[in-house]
Amino acid sequence: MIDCIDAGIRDALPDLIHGRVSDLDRATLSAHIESCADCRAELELLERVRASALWPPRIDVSRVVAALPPNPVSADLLAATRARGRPATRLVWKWAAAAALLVTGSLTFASARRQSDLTAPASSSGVSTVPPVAVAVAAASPAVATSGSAAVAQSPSVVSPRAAAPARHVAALSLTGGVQDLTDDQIKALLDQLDSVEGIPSAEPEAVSIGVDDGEGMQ
Amino acid sequence: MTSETRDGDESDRHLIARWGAGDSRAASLLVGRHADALARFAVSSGEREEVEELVQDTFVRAFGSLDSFRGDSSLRTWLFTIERRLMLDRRRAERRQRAMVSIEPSDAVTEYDALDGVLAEEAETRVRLAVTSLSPTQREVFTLRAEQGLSYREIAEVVGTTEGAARVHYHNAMRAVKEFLND
Repeated sequence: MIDCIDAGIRDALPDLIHGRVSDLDRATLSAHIESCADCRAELELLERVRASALWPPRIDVSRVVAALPPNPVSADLLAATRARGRPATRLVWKWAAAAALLVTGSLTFASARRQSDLTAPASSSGVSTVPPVAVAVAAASPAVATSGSAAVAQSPSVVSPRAAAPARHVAALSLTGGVQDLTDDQIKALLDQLDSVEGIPSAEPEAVSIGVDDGEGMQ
Repeated sequence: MTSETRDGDESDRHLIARWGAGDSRAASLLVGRHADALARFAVSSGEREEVEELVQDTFVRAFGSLDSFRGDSSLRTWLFTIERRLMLDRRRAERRQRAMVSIEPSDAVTEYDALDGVLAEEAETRVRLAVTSLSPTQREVFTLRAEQGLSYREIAEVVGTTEGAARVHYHNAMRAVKEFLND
């Protein structure tokens, strides 16, 4: 087996068997090989070399992929998500807490308003539920709030707080006796009423003022 | 006359870009495309054990520094370069531990006998023996050229030599194989 003198052709023979030549080169090579026994022999040898290549074990692609380092972008995104997770969660909880507070405040205020509406007729009739000490949501008129009596009073004319804007509500807290004088039921009633006192600034346009009745009239 | 472009090159770059953009499936495609060629190169270079581990290490190294792949060469050439370095490291370590008998040209018959036994007269086996009888550098260059189809420029990049030297090694190897088979 001798070598063809055309080194360029011989150099290209491996490319021919691996399909790495252009169509033009393939035509040129084929034409040469047809007329050159040495190149045909060498091409045949290259085919045998390729065919005799030892077969390696089959590679488990999934196993190789599983061992690869993490994708840089995915890793960055994961890290960024983790970094942002806490503040985002914190913000959500803040909003949730604010919403809960607002709802609770609104319900409490509405409940207090409703309760004052319901208790007004009883007060106006002079029925005292907690004689010595009382939390009174009284009508604007000081005369209605009876001194020395615990009264939750409201002017009969003030049925709807919104409709009674000119006659402003005055919440009165009357303290004319000692707590020790109260019965259990009275204390319970007092605590219930204290619970209904608005502790959060109202979102309602109408202001509620709390006055203290010292026995000489509402202040 | 060598066509320097490979059909898959553009797709390789595209897959690399996809992987760089966060598409992890692109890694599977790249590994599936080149794993067998890397395994064949390893076996042709004399590796017999833990070939899959070698291929895996090659991909781990490559993907760990994929941002440094500039695309001057094909991805497969770059992978061959990494794998070859790993093989050299492995052989050095094994040589230090005296656990591996380095396959020298003079050991070719021993390796052949151990591998192929009584099939010595078969033509295919004779061709394999002829390739095995080459010097390590000649065998490496010849394998990359004849079995893998790399260009001289790519071979030079893989083995760390010049294009001209790679051409000389190839033709010397071809001559040696012919002489072996004619004997």
